[in-house]
Amino acid sequence: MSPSTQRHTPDPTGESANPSVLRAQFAYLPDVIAELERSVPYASALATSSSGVRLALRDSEQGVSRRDPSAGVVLTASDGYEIEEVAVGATDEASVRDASRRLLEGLRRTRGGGRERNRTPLNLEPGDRLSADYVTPVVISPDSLSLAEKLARFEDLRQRARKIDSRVVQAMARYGDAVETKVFVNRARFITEVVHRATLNVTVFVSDGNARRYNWLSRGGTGGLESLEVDEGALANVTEIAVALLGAKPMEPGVYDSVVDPSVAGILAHEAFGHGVETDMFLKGRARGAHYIGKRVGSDLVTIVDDPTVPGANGTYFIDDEGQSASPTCIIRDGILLGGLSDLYSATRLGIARTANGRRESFERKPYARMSNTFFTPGTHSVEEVLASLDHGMYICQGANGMEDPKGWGIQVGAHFAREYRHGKPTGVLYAPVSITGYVPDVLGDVTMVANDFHLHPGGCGKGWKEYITVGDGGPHVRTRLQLA
Amino acid sequence: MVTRTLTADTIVQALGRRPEIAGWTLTRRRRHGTQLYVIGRDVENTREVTTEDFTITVFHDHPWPVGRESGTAGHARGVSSVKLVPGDTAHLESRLDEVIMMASLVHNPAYELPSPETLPNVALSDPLITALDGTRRAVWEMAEEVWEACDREASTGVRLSAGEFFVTVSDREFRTSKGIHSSSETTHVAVEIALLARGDSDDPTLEAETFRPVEARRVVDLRLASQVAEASRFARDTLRAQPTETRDGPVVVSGSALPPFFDPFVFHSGAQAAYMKLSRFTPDHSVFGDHAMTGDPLHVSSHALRPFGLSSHSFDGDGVPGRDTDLIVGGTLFARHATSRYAQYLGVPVTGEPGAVVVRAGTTPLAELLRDSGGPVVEIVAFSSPNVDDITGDVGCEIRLGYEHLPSGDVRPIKGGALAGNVFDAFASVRFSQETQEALISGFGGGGVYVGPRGARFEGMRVAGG
Repeated sequence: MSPSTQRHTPDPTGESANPSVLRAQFAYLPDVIAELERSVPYASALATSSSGVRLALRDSEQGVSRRDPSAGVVLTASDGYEIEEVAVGATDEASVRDASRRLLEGLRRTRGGGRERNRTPLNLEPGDRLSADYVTPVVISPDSLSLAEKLARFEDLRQRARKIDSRVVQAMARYGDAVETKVFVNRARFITEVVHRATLNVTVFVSDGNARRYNWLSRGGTGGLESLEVDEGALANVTEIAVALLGAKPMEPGVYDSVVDPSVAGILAHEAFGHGVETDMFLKGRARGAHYIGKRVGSDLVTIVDDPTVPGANGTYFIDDEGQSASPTCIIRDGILLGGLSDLYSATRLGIARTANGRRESFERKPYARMSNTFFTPGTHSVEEVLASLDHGMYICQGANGMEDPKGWGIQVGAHFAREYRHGKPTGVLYAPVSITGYVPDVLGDVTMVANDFHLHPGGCGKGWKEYITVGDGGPHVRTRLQLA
Repeated sequence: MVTRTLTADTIVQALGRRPEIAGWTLTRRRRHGTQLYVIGRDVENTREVTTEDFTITVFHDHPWPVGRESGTAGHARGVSSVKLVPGDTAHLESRLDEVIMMASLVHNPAYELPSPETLPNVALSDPLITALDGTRRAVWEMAEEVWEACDREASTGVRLSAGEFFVTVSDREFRTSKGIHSSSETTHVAVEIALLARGDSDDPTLEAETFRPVEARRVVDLRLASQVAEASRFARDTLRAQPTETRDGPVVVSGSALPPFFDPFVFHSGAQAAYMKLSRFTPDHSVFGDHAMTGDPLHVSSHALRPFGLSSHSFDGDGVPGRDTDLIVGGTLFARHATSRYAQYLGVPVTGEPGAVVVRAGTTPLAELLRDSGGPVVEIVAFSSPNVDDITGDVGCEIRLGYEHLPSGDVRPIKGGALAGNVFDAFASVRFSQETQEALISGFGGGGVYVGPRGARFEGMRVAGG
């Protein structure tokens, strides 16, 4: 096989990233479910696979690998009170039927065991009858470039970033593409889903001989290479900011009038009332939001939505991992908390309507109520108007991380830097890093302007310190008052 | 006879038939585990998980492309990896075609795979778990222990919200083209508990929570009873905690809040960081740059041989035997931790992957570090998230729970606000407690272990009010 003529990287799952092939491959699953349901009132199966290519490029080092291909099946059964699951890293019929046998053995053991069991009935509903196939639209397929062409393209990008400034000591480019397949079967549903994904990260490290700073840009989501365009302006901006950060000051702790860019707004939405309304936390008594449904939690300008149907976004899918069809959920409208994001178990126990937010890190993990794409909705002001309103405040940029506190309604968001503004104009002073803390209702209650722009960013989300999934977050520029350090 | 299931032997034979491969490594990993999820005393879900996979890494040597700078004279080495599962027998040859093709397209300075060495004997598995049906029995034992411990706290207003219990047995087989053939069996136990404390009010919005993740290799090392006792105390104290006030003054970071502060020191001590031109440390020079070291001397070492250590190993991902290595001695970079590849690139001794981060304790009792006649000392025992930047050393962490130790001897719980600063500045004047602890150095599942002072007092960190 000649690298120069090969048009694509052979993908062993490529032939199966096709709904008809998936249906044929897993045609046995309805029978497995039917057999399980001769012993239990509810059973389902989820078969997943993911595969793709990763490139890691930096000075004097290049690496390419198949993205950790992961393929397996998880069988779920409920005896009407509890749930048991068996997950195997195989998708062939023999392995799955063996898993089914072990699942029934486990259920028999549970029934026959001496421990006191949960006696509250659990009536899991399979949903309306649905047989459907979904595939992510792709404009520029990653297969349209050979691996050699991808390497050349992203190494060129990295080199251009590397050469922008003499203070750049290292530049890294990381590319990934993936095909993720999902087959969900219960007695009412047989659904296939194929999600294509592409991501790019370029990180630039600078040094003035003493300090070291860095900055990055990220692109990507669901779809193909069309989401990975990086123009020269964006590349130059990454380096320019990294160099400027060499002179950044530590933030002076205090409360500031602040404008957050979409990446920071997204993390605020995600941590404040994304995690804050995951209904498995309602069930566990770990979410203060459970007691505020229908009540005000922010200003009239605040509307926060979770939406797994946004075309091309990183957290987009067609069905969740429990077979629920994707649809948006308005979490907060005009400052009023409307409801939560649910998985099948918590929705059933709480007696509330399901949303399409039951997601697993992989077949190896349990489903939880999780976010998809979470964002503030746009307002009416221009970005320029919002920034010009800062008489003395901070423009906080480049969201980096966050942590949830659904019980205490505290918030922790890390941003890479902030620009000082006086009289509506930047002073040229940068502060880095920036830690945003505070009380969620205060942060949302102090929102006084929402811009009319909108950007979603790719990201990852953990539940506490594990269960990592892909998400998107963002929104417009938002003005509020924030506690900074 | 057609082999239905892929085996390591099959893969090695297939690799042997590829003359274009300059070298290879093969890791076969099998895992079986049980997971138990409870809400209060009710079982939500019980799961069994079984997986097996093979990771093949191949090395392909070829001339440097025209116009590409080369790190050394001679050939370039390409490296690429692919993973297969037992059902991939039919795909083996095409996957090898692919991984060889991928390796042929990338170019790195040449380096050699390690040769076989005698491996140390490191205990890594709990025999109570590896016994038949041990994973299922172990998760229930852990749950029962947590329930009993929570029952003891019930009279103080604390209850269990939810618990998650994980027990996994893994066995790993590692082979290389240089003749290494090693295997190890490990166990991993993990628990996540959320405790809720309620005071006299019936208002559910007036509860406080403590979230506690713990991991170990053996169930006994989780020390669940003491974890529940401490977490319960934290939950009760969070309930009555007052907002933190902004102050400059001494700060003590203690318990599980402390270990992440050492992450940047470990990162910058690494050979890989140096090769990437990101390390700020220079051998035989102070790790504090221009700051004079006025506090307790900083000694940091990597220990890969601690029995049942989460970071311990008898061999690393390249087959290099585990070992203990001094990294920072008296505040000076003594040696870098270096995997085989980066050791060759830098011309430094191979240490293998780092193990537990071990920090020498101080000589001052923790109680004394918490006293200051000039004013209150803030002690932070829990952050929302350990936000410590490995590259810059900057710290920005929300305070989930702390204590204000007043000169009068009173102690008031506080919460909210943030601790800000830079570890490379702050540790130059640090004072360590003489008491020690063993704790996770990063988040749940991060796999790092810290053994060192239970508390560290900083004069140069800032507490920003909540």
